[in-house]
Amino acid sequence: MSDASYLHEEQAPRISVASPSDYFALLKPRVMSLVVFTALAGLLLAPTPPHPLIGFASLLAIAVGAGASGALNMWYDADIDALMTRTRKRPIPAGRLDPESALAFGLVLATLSVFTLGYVANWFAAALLAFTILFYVVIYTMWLKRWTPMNIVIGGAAGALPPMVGFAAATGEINLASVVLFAIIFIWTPPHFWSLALLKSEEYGRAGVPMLPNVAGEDRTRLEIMIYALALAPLGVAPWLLGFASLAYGLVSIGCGVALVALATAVFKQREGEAARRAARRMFLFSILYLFVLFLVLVVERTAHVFALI
Amino acid sequence: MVNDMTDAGDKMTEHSGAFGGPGVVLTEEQARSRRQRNIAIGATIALLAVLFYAVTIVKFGAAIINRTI
Repeated sequence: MSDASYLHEEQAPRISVASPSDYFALLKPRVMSLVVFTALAGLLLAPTPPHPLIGFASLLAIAVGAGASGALNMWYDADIDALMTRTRKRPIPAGRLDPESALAFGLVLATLSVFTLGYVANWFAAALLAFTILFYVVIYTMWLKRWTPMNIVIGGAAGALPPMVGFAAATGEINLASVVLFAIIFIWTPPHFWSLALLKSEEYGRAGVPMLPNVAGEDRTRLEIMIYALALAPLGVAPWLLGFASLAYGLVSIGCGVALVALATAVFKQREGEAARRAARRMFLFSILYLFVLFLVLVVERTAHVFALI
Repeated sequence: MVNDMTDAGDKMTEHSGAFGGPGVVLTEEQARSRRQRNIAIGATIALLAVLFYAVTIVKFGAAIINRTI
């Protein structure tokens, strides 16, 4: 890597050629944007929303915390990332960034995000963010992911916590509404990732990650997707039933829930060939749209509510 | 050890007095990526300073002018 050719290979200093964009890629920007979006929904649920700057700084801290989790995940999983086409172009397996730098980057950002949230919002929210990062990195990445096919069921809690962190940042506590948002993401996670696992089961198998299709078989996975979709559809309507979302949200969530169950049914029925892959792909893509639409309606509604308060 | 950074020819050189040799000569790519990283770190620290300053003012609120001069 360096021009220090007069030194032996093992003596030559390793000089990084990583660009800022490689470090940015470590943050898993797409996951980070989803975290920001769901945390914003939680923040806007507060009866009295925080000052816009405090809200912005809180969301920034939550986003950086999520990014730190991503960086630490990529540091630990670099070996299996190198074995899967979906992940082998990430900065560490691609050789653009060394693992030690990723570890240091992740640890610094994790610490910075927790203390920033503690300062700008409150220490309860900061503790919840620290718990989220620890849960994702230690419980999910280091322990569950390579050990059990239930990895994403339990590990999904980390991805589901941001609305609670957002609400806690605004209020200093958690309430039923924020727990319902947590539950929606928590139940949404398994069918989302299992649809992907049906499409990428060979790759997960090659990397030695015990995803449900590799361990329990594709039929069992299809059944589990169906069960979770049946649980998620009514749960998605709960914000309206519990009175913290409007009728418009209720109608959208019912429509999206029906579509989700229909697509899960297609995954359950189509078990062979291209039709099966198409059904799994549709389920995977629609599950992203499902969560996005539900939270978008909530965010729009709550933003209108905030402006009505001003 | 003396560190000497020159921009001539888009190269940066670190002289190593201990060996008396040329030290580590960065390639153009290494120098460019280091400069980009330094700019990114600087910009991030500057933005953080501004953010913390503004947040502190907001948290103080009206009380910030309630002091003896």
